[in-house]
Amino acid sequence: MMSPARGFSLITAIMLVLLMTSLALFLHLRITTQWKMATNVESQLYSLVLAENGIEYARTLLPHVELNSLLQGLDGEHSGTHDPEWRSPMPFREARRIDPSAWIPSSDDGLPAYNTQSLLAKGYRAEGNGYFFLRFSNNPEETAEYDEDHIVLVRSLGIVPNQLRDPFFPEVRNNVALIEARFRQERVFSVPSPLTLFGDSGFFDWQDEQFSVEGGEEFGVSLVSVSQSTLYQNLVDSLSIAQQERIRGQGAAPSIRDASPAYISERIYQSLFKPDFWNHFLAQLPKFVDGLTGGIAFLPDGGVLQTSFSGILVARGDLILQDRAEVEGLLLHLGAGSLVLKDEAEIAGGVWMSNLDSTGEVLKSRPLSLRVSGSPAIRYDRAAIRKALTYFPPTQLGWRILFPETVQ
Amino acid sequence: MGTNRLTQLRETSPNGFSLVEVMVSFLFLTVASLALLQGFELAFRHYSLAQSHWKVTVELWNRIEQLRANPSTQEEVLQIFPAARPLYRTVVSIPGRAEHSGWEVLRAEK
Amino acid sequence: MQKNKGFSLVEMMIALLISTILFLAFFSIVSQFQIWSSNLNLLMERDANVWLAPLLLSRWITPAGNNRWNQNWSGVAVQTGRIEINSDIHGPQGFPDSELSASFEALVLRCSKSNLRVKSGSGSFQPLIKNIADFEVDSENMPLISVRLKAVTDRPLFVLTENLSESTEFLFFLRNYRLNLFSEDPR
Repeated sequence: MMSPARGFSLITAIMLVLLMTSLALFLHLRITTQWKMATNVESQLYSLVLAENGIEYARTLLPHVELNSLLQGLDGEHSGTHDPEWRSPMPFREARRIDPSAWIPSSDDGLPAYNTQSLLAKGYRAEGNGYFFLRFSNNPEETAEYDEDHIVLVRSLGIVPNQLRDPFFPEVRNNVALIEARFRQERVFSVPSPLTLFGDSGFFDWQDEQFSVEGGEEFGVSLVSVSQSTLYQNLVDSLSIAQQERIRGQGAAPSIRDASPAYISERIYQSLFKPDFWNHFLAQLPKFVDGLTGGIAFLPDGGVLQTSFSGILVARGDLILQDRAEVEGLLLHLGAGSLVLKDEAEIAGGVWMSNLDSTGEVLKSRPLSLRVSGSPAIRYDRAAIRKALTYFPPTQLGWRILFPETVQ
Repeated sequence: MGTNRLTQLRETSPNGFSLVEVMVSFLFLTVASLALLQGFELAFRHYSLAQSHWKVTVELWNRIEQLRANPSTQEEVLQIFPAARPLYRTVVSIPGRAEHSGWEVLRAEK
Repeated sequence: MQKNKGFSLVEMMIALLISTILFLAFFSIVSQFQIWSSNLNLLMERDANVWLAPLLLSRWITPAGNNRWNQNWSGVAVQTGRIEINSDIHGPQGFPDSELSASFEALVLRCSKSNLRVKSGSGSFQPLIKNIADFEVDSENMPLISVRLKAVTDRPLFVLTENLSESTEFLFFLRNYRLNLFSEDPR
């Protein structure tokens, strides 16, 4: 007959093994969870990196685009703001479950484009199977369709498809990060005339009658007063009758206008009257220069230019353009010293002159100084000015991360 | 001869059967425990793999943050269209960590 | 019958010897098993929260100082073992409203009682990440901020005597402190 104790040891052993196995299984589960967490942290962080890549892409694109065309998209019509997440490339929910390689935008409003060519029609595919998608929208202080203040929002969505699927959330396939940046594309130096004088008084020396200030469809000279101004009188008094004929624009000569009302009323120009604007600009300028061959150039102590330059030339002190010097774009002469145009120097674009004291709370103007001899020419060229302005990077006014709970 | 007695015992006595049973059980337990220990070692190894994966992720992140703050000169230039300022592209990776694919970073010139 | 008894004694002795050896082997394995399991648990506990730190911190620190122009608060203030982050990132319409009204807009991070703690607005410090013995913030290379966390286990590990604290450094570039050629002043 068999004893009831038979098999006890084996059963105990089996139970112990079972106990240890369950412990091991528990640990295995925990390790799997930790592994998933490590992978998830990696994908989440990479999606953030990708989203920021999109913002950098937008930063590069923005100076070159006309904002109102961009906002309307290639079809030329704004599709409205019915979708609560219309500012984003796509809603969060969709971003989490789509196959990023097969994304088709519901609307083309604000999608990156240049010269009627879509740039990221299928998003940007990055290393490591990541993507980013971009959409621009007008800042909420203005209507969705029309921009006036040159401020725009850009939302960039970074997507990293999940490598590990979660059986509890099968519809969640991607790690997603959404960043919104607020940019302003600076147009303060989008000058209205070949020669724009910002100040209250000036010394002008026109030695010959061969020079030319040609405004084409615009005024030849625009004057902007900071406060009580004698600038117009100073200018007119310095010109002989024959010399006045050399300042042409809108089919008339002399073509000189007081642009102060336009500058005071237009929002984009108002910062020019604030000392902080000038202090910031002059302090940061050296960090943004490209070189003397093109782009943004800065001559803090003036100098002599005899060759060609394309872009934005900023100078303080005495700046002399002589021989066959050519500037295509913008010449900003700021501060004390004279701007001297000699020989056959030519500027295609526009010249801005100001000599300001921005040390106090109120901007003060000091006399401008312009000397012209020989047969130099300043020819208004809107396209050259627009091209030059693309060298100014957009000003970043904000940068935030959006979440499903806070996105609108 | 002992074996014969044992065989005889197994056939006749329940006490003798327990001894073999205990020995078999312990053997089973030991083998199972050793297997589990192996499993544990594997678990440790997996865990340290996850740990190093996370550390590489943090290192990648830190490098990218540094790159955003202090741009490198060894970046590939992406021209999004001919007139545009360059967009710089770098794939940041950790040497010797092939299992961790590099992260792509784009940076506007200004 | 007598022969059977004598044989059982020898058998018992052998059995006892074998059992003792097996018991010793078994219990040493089990105790090893237990030590490893316990140590692994402690390590996993230590890491479980710390591994989320780069996600949590990047989301809070990188947008620091959003919409701070013309406001009466600073974006980031770093003191020893403490960082204050103010970012106007949300408002009733979903956009910054020039107020630090939402719970995640005004934060202070510091470490105490082995926890990284966070204070939101005028509230009190609440635990955010467990097992953190030290928290250091360095703003010397602004706008690049360095955050160092020293993670420790709840209690010392068994048997092992090595130092089980784990220090990790995270870098965060403050996006809203990026240089701009033109003033950020909202016009």
